[in-house]
Parts: sequence; structure tokens; C-alpha cells
Amino acid sequence: MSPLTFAAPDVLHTLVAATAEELDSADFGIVKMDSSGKVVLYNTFESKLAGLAKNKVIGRRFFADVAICANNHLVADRYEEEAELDATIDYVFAFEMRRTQVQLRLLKSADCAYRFLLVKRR
Amino acid sequence: MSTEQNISERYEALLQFLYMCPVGIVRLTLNGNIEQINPKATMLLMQISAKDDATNLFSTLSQFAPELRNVVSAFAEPHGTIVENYTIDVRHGVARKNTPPLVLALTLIKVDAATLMAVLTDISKLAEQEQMIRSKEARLRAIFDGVRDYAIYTLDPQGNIETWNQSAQRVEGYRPEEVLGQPFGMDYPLDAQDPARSGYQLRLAQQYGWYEDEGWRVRRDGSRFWANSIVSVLGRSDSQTVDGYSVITRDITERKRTEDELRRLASTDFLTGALNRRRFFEEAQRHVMRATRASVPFSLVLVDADHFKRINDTYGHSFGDVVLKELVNSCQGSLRTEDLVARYGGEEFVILLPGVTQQRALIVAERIRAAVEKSILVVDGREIRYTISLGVAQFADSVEATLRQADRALYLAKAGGRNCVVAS
Repeated sequence: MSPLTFAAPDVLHTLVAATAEELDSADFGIVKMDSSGKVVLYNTFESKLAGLAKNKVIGRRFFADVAICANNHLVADRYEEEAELDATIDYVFAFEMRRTQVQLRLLKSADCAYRFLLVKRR
Repeated sequence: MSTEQNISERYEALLQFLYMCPVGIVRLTLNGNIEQINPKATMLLMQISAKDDATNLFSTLSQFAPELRNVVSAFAEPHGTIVENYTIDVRHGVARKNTPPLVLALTLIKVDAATLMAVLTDISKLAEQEQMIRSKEARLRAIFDGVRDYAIYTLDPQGNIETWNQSAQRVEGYRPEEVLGQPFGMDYPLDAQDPARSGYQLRLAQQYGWYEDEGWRVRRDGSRFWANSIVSVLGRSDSQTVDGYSVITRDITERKRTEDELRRLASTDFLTGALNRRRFFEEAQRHVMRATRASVPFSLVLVDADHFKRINDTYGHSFGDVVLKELVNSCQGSLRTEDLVARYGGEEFVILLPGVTQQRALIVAERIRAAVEKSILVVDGREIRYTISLGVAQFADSVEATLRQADRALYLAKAGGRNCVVAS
């Protein structure tokens, strides 16, 4: 199985199999969503980056309520429009109202009930 | 709960509030550098410039609202609202594909000598409905607004004036005995008096129950006023025959003057007086209809100042502004009155030549190029020459496609050494 890194190929299966502790120890942000886009897991790295406690985010619709900055055709819509998705793009988040250049990896697969968004600072 | 915990919870709640905020909020320096930005604003700006170079709001928007920087620098007050719900139309970008239509409303407030706050709202849906609402609004206003000063009179079934009351006398100056029996339209300017036209208006009123018309009217003393007239059919609704017509004519000269001025302000570029992008695309759409329905060709010419960045860097922005103004003057000097010049981007202009094929557009473009090459600008005692490159394309398929063609031609002109004209 692939290592749990931002760029590892076929990382989706590693993410699905990983425990919450393993996801929390990653050095990049991990957002695990269900098929309706609600947050199932929000890892420690991402929580610190955004300044939001996990319990404030879990259960919310990620792009609609939490990360509005990516709620457009460039990111959020792709999860709805593409059946298989593994794309890495440069993007900008507004963590604590500061422009923050990030790299995003969008992951979704037909054989997996969960979708993932990986976030890394550039 | 300790105070520290309390503070961090409050901070978090505040963050969450700002993260969820459904309008874009940006804090800027006076020259547009982004200091703080909320997610919604980030999202909207990323849609405009996915290259994530949106560190300066004015630069990011320059392609769609090039006049913004000038509007801000022209704002001399220490604080106050610079623009309110200023419309930025991102619908017709040619640079990137697959971008959903986007129309933004921008409010810019000067907080102090160093700080601007910007509010960005996505009004795309609103803009779509705008056209529809505008036409309804105009009709309602015609009926309800300013009914203080109107002339009301009636026509017989043949369209001749039957009654003429005091209000009509007050507005138009004629006494009843001077106008009774005269045909409808007798108060139109001589060059607009046409029995066929009057008959047509009355037929339309008959068909639809009413007819509305705006235009000049002439008072008894020869003075003109801009009027709105509504002609309604008199008669029982169940009968096929017409008993006559009522006419309500209102003097709306003042409103027209204000509207003309507002329209001019809303449709021209602040710095150069050229049309703005929004207006350009509206006008272009009209010509597209003529081109497709009546096979009347038109051509587009993209004009770009050569080495403009170098001019700006060497002589400063204000000098660059002078160059842009002069560039528009030079274009207009070589064009007919029906040709249009619009500011398309930062230092890029687009010219629309109605009825002109690519072959002839090339000749016009070359004339402009030569005029600019010959011109000498004097600013602060310094003389400077500058040149332009031009890309020409005749309309085919769509405005966007034609612009892409012209853009490619412009690119070739730049690559071919600048100061030249290339056709697609």
C-alpha cells in the first residue's frame, strides 16, 4: 500500500484504511467527506491551519459551510461532476483572512464511499 | 472556564463567522494590495484569475474594470465610499475557457489614508434578470412617475384631435381651437411628421390596447421637449369598433437629460472616455444580430500599446495614462462616427468597424498605426513617441471567437516585431 504522503500515487486506499491517529499525524491537511460532501474527519494539521476545532467542522458540508473559498467550478464542482478524480492543483485559501497559497489534491473514486481533500502549504 | 480558553473560543467563533460569510470582504492598501481577505472573496477572485496571482485587487480586475485604479486615485476625500455596487462583468473573458458566467458588484470604501475595504457580491443571477426587470420598470415608471405635468387629449376614430383640455394647453401651448380636427402627430417635429407613421402607431394601439412612444414634440412657440406618449384605445372592451383614443403626453426632458448623462457615465471608461467592456459587448451583440440576419459584416481590431510596461516603469503611471488617452484620441481621429472604440483591458483597446470587411479593416488599422507612430507626446516638457500593434479579424460565429482570432493576430503582430498590423 502507498505511504501516507501528499503526493503518493494511489493514496486514496491508504487514506481509507488509515486510522484517525495516523491521519492526525500527517504533515498536511486531510479532509474526509462522505458522498454528500459532509465532513467525516478533519485532521489535526488542517484544524491548526484553519484555526478551527474539529468539532466545529465535523458534520458540516465542507465546501458550502467551511471552505467557501473552494466552493466553485475549480474545486467543489469537480467532486460532483467527475466520477473518478485525482487532481493536484495550486490554489489559494483564506486561512484566518490571510491569503495562503496551497496545493490541493482532490480525490474521489467510484469504488470508495468517501472523498478526500488534501491540503499542503506552498 | 479559564479566560484563555474563553478567548480562544470567542476567536474561533469569530473565525467561523467570517469563514461562512456569504459576501466577499477584502482589506486593501490604497494601491490595491490585498492585506486580508475572507474565503468568499478568495473564491470569487480565484474564478477570475486561477493563476492565484490575485495579490492585488486592481490588477486582478484590470482586465474587466481597467478604470478602477483611476477611479480610486481620483478620489480625493480622506474617507468615504468610492464606488457602490459597481458592476464588473466577467462574462466575456476570452482568456480562459470553462469559466461560468460571473457578474460582480463591487463596493469600495476608503477607511483612512492607507486602507480600503472592498465588498464583493456575486450578482450573476441578478444580472440575468436585470434585462427583464428593466423593461418592465420602464413601463411602470412611464405610467406612474411624475404624472404632475401631462397633456391629456383625445382623438376620434380617424385619429384626429377631438378634445384638448387645459393640461394639454399648458404643456404644449396650443389653444383648443388651434388643434381640434388636426391629425395625431401634429406636435411632432416637421421631419418626423408622417401620416403613415401616425397610422401605424394607432393600429398598434388598436391591436394591443395601448402604444407607447418617446421622442421630440414641438410646442406652439417652436420650442422642443422630449416626451413620453401613451396612446390608449377608447371603447367597450367587447366591441370590435374603436370609439377613439386617449393620448397622455408627458414632458420628460429633464429625466432624459439625466438618463443620457448617467448612461454616458455608466458606459464609458473613466480614464480615456472610450466605451467600457460591458457596453462594448452590448453594442457588439447588436452588430452580431445585423450580421446574422442581414449579412452586414463587421470587423474587430485589437489595439495594444507596445512596451507599455516600459513606458509606465520609465515615466510613471500618470504618463502611461496620458499615452492611453492619446491612443484613444488617435484611434478616434482615424475612424468614422459609427465606429466604436472600447477599453478592453489594461492597455488593450478594441475597435468595432460596422459594415467593414477584414480587407478594409486592415487599411483602417494601418491608418491608425501610422497616425500613432507619427504622433509625439509632450508631458512635463518631455517628448515621447510610442507605437501600437494591431490584430484584425472579421466577425464569424461569435464575438468571443472573433476576439480570439483578433487576439491571435495581435500576438503575431507583437511577435513580428511590434508596430505593425496583422490580420487573422
